[in-house]
Amino acid sequence: MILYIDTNILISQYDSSDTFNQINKKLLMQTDIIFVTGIITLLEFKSVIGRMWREKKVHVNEKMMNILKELLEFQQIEALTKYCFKTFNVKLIPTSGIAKLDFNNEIYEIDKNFFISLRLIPKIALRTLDILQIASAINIKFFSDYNVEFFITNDEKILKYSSDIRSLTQIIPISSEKLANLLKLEV
Amino acid sequence: MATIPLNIDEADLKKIDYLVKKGQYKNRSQAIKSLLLEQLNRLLIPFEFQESESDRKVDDVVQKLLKLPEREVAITFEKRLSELISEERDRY
Repeated sequence: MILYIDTNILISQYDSSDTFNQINKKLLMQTDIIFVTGIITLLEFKSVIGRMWREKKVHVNEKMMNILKELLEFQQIEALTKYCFKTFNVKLIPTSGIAKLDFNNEIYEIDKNFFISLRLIPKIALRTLDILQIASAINIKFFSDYNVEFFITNDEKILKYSSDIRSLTQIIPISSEKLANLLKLEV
Repeated sequence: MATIPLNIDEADLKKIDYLVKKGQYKNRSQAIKSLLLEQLNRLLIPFEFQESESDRKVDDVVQKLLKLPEREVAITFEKRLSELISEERDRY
């Protein structure tokens, strides 16, 4: 089974106040499932980690802090992001294809994720970054070796359009709680 | 601060004087310094977006972190972090 992970699932690992913290941790520990995600997740994750680090909201133990002190602040954010992704059981799948966009009699060569997003926007009333996430999952499903079946997110706005997304993409958006029930995980 | 001797063609010097006269710069020295720094930064920016020595230093630190027997990362924020991501998405 191959699942695409949305950013909110990954970031909740570090947030003990998140209702789904334990479920998400348990879910990501499943070794018989392949978890994948796209570069847009890295972008969102790094943005949140960076903001929280600058605001001194990220807490690491003393030994980790002593090592991180070797770096400048922007490098610490780089290091923390890389460290977090190393510890996740998630494969980051680069999808860097180019697509030809025929727009107003001009042909543009654009990033395939943007191309798919432009096709999705008139069909689903989602926010731009949601669309980019869905596009990334589609790109991975149809243009890489990972046949993504589910899109795991706890974002209500995406889950609301679950059936539309499913019929358009053959990828099923599902909450981590529902998925854990489906997999009969005990939390 | 270092002082560097500089040979400039008369024609180029006239161009600099023109910019000074037009009020773009206070004097020749400021004009040359500003133009040099502007061009210097323009040439350096692309290197910021390529793999660099800094990335390797970061990677070394990541390896050191991963070797620690006890590691702990937690984030405390007044809101749930997943809410924060959703709010960010609302903005775009």
